[in-house]
Amino acid sequence: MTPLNPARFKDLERFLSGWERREAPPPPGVYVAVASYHSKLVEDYCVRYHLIYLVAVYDRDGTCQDLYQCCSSQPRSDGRCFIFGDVEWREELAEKCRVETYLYRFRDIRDALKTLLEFGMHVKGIPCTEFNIDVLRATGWCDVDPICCDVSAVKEKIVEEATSTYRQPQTQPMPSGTSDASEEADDGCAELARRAAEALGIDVSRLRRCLCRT
Amino acid sequence: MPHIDVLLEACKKKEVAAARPRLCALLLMYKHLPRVGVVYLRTTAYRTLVQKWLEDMPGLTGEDKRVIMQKLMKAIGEAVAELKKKVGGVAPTATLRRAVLRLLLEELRKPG
Repeated sequence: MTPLNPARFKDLERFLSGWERREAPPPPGVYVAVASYHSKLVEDYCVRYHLIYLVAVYDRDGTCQDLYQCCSSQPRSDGRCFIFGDVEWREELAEKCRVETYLYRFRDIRDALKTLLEFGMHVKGIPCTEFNIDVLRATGWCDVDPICCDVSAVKEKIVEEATSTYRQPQTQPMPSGTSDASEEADDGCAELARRAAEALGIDVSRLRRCLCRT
Repeated sequence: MPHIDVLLEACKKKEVAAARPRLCALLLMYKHLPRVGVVYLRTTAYRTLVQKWLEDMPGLTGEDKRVIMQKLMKAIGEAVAELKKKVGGVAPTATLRRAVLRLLLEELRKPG
């Protein structure tokens, strides 16, 4: 992801209390959110702010002495170190940016991912859809907020509701003396009725009958 | 947003575009934001986009096009005003994408 808005210092301080701080780039690991890179934006950001990385280290049995070293020595596929960062780390950033890496040990992989998700969403304000779908699934976030993972159900509901709303006024019988031709002739009144009905959330055809009958 | 195309497809139905103009307007805005650079937030910048969008919609009468165009442009105007308050009149595209995405998610969570 691209660094855009730095987190508030107070939020950072509160969230990262207890985390091990290193003035070093993040170790190898799996990024939990989209980590695109635009060099110009990163340069601009680095003029004013440090890059911050959170590394959640999954260490079930507590065998890892030095968290940073553990991540550095493990192959990427191990799935032990999960990273949330302002931007995907590249060597060239070392010359341009000051960087801080925060590490924390987790006995439960779900807790590790949940913590990074919480930081991203609540401290950095990242929309949930920018997180890796597997992370959203693993943390159970898809059940909490299904829109983050799958919109097919929402889409169906939207189409269904829109279709029924659209058909409703057409299926109601026209009162005697009212025809399409008279509606066209009285377009201004029909439009006014439509707007009023929209604003008030009431049936447009009934309102039109009351307002527009001559 | 990974599901954007699915939702945009739904907005191709005139019923959906007419009933959920804000949702469709936000989807169009999000879809057509440039990948990088800076965006000047103006409602009129989206007029041609909406017109082209309506041209591709099947089975629309002239009156349908007029009504939906009016609704979409109104929704875009409102969204632009909200975004201006949040990110300013000129914003990096990445900031804007994120802000539009937030509005979009809020809109999707709203009941019809």
